[in-house]
Amino acid sequence: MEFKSLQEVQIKLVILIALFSSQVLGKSKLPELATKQAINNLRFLSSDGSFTYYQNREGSLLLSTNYKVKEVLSSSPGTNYQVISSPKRKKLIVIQQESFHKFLGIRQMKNIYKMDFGGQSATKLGLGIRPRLHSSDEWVSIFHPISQTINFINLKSSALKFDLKIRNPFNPYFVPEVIMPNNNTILYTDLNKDGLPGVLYYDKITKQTSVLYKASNSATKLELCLNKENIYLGEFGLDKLFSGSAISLLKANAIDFSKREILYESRLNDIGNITCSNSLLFVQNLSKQRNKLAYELVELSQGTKRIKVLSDINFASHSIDMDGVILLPHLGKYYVVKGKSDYTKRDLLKKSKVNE
Amino acid sequence: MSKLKMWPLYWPSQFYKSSILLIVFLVCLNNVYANSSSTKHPGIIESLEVLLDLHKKQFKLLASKVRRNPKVLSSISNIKELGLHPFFVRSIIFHSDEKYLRLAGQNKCIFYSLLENDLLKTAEGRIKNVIVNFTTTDNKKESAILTKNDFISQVYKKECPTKKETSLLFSDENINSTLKKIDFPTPENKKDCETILEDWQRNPFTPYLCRVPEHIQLGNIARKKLERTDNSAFSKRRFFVELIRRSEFLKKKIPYFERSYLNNLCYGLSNSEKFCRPYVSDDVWSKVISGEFPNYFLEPKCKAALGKSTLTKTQLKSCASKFKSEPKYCVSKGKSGLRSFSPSPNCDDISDALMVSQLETNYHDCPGYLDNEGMINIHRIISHLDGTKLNSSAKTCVNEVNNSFANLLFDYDYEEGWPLKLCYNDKIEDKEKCEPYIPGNNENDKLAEGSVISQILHKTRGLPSNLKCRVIDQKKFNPNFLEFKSGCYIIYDPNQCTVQFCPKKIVHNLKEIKDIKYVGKPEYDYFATSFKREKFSLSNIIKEVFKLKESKIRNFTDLIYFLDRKPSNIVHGIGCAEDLAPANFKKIGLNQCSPLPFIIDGYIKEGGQVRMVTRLAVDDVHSPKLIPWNFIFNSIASYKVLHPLDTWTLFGIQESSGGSN
Repeated sequence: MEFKSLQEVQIKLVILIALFSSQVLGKSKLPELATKQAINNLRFLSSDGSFTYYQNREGSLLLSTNYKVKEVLSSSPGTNYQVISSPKRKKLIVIQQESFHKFLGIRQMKNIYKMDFGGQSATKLGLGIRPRLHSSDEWVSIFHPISQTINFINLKSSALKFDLKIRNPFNPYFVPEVIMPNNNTILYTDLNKDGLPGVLYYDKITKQTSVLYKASNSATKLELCLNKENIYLGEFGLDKLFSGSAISLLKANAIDFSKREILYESRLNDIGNITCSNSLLFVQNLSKQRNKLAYELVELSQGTKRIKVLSDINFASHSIDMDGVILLPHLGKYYVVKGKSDYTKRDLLKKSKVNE
Repeated sequence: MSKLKMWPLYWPSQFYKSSILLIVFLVCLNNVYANSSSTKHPGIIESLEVLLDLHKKQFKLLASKVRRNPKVLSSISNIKELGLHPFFVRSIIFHSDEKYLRLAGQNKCIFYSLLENDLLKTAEGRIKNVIVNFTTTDNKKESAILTKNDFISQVYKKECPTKKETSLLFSDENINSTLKKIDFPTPENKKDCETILEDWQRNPFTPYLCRVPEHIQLGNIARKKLERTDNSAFSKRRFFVELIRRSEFLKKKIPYFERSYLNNLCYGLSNSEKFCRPYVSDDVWSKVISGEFPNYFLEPKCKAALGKSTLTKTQLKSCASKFKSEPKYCVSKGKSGLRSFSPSPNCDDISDALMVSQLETNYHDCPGYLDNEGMINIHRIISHLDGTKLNSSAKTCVNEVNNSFANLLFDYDYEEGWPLKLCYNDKIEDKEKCEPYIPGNNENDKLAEGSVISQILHKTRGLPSNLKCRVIDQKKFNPNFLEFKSGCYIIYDPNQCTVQFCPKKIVHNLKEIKDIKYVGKPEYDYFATSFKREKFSLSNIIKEVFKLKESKIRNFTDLIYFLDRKPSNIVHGIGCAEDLAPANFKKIGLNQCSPLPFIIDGYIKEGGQVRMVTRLAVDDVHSPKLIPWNFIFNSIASYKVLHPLDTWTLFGIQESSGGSN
């Protein structure tokens, strides 16, 4: 009897500790993103606050600027939008997903549009998922999960396009990382027949593909991030039996994997999710330091190779670079890690010129 | 050393009493056979190290002396008595493995069979030659050295006649067929296990069986030694090569399960804890084999791993052993042909999750083939509630999911809720008519796509009612082949096909049929997105059809108490994939979310941290993940802010019979 009571007490104690740690410690000291309208409708805020894209229940994507509202795209109620930018601030990509709540499919193909940065007119590019802007916003890549093809479309002349087929026979939900260090070079990730991830190098002029790097096991995630002259390659374990994380640096103007510089290594499995537009950020596993499972957003200094912990929520998962402002999503809220957080007091009456 | 430490423990044992007495006796007798006048005679109190060292020297002396008198038995006439030299026996006792010495104590024939099978050792290691004492009929006493085989064949002839036959049964030519006739029982529990071990200890075949792992191990050691041996050391290299060859021969002849079993048996021959460990261990794979857990925890993974559609008990045991001993195996294998998210968790994590899992999963679905995670999750919930048993394959998995989903709607009398229809012009009634259909091939199902099209063609064109229309990939459809020149085919291009939009061409006898239209997309509310149509959400339909009690799970405490309340309780929800599995799904935009249904059916506490047994709708249903509660909570919170009704999308499902909210 005594043993049973003790066991019950232990169970309840663990539950209380878990409850306490999961809910009470969820708040952060970082400033919360403050906006004039409900954050859940917002899809993009320019860093100077001069324009905002948001959606409504009727299925429209709208642009708000200078106290004027213009409809950019319309569709049926329940449509969801996503707006993606790049540090070049010339173009935006819009992803339109109809039946967002009524059809639950990760690989569902979505309508992809392009438009000018801050513009109100969107042009359809095609169907696909995971669109990305490349090469000073001159190119966009879109992934087709069924045909396992990456489409590249030139945004100045849509007749200019080409495809790259990935091999991946292993994971139907795999989406390749894609970067274009210059107009003629593409680096992307793929999986081979054994599920081993690799980084491939495609030369547009010679139309030749070569393997730059191959991971040693299938429980590894490879990430690519491009910032001006630097390519960051992240390698993160996905299973405790294949533990380890590393971030390497390659030079974009002379891609030679043997000359890479290892900036960071760890024996633990970090989440990764690298962003690198201004500084190099990723989500690190801090279990060893904190003696319990913990993940925080950290900044890796390229020069000193030192790590600085930026968040304090214990379970960070991503950072979002929204026009240079770094956001930390958590429990449906957004904390601002870098940049201004208060969008309520921006002077929107000033006319602001945006790149056209 | 270890023997000295162990002896006091086994002092009560008769065998060890007689061993000690034997040693005392031999020590006393040592004066008769040892020839060195300067030999030290330590007492029993001396340390074993000193004893062993002294013994080695004495053995060497004796061996070199008798080597001057090598004999072949056939050359010795009139042998009255023949036995092993006592000093030789002492050496065996000192240098052989304790587990085999315990067997040897039973009777001399077992002793001889252990000797025959290289399981006993002397100061010189493996025994190739034996030192004997023999007496001739004219009372002449001699010591000599004989080959082991020579000695064994003599003693078997005189003292252990049945052993000769046993040797033949386990010869290289016969070992395979002999093993097939031997039963290798797997214990169900600890008591059973101890009984089985005692039986093996008494079994006269055991020395012959233990030769197998012993020779395989020798081969493995020899392989490593060969790498380090100089090329010029010919005889040494030849010796190692022979051991390796022997080991490879046995590996080829003897199947994996038997080798694995014998390895475990001979390793734990004198220790029931060692022998029983795989059978009384706390991993799910062993518990499936012992019958404590259902077969479907292991069977589908094993079928996928071996590429078989049916399994024998032996194959199942082999898989259990593999998953237990190679936990990395499950990360990339065990689910081929039924595409789902990869990589999977490792076998240890899957085992931990399944040990506390409450979800019934007697089927094997294929999320990657269907691309509709809502339907996958509903199928899993339905299969749990009605105890569905399906012999799933890559050909049937899509249809199984569609079937259970369609039947749910039909049970709810909500046929118009089934969105997929085939429409045609009914000339008799002069109006358009639409029939519901389930995509995919299933000849036995009237609602399967092919069956519905065939019924329509019968009505509109008078084609035979038993015409079979088959859905086929356009790459496989070749009109030049005879088989395709007649018959009905529904052709699609997988590169242009998504669940929402999949243009198909219907062809009969190579002529396209254009007056049947595909209508509808599989869109529905998983959880209600409007108050008006709340009763038509899938979560509500399931509740009504299966008469369930639904509980909103608001926090961690609710979740734990709900799962603990009843063994069949499960929880389902929708969260953003990017927050459920942030290492696998990346978020780069504001309010980015890919809604992903999931089921939680258990939890594990590890060092103050609680992780939930979770099956995301994209996961292999037999490879549950252990996800920290914080990620799950975060994912639901992210989805909630985007939900039209601001709904907290996490609900517990409990069958109405017994229990309360």
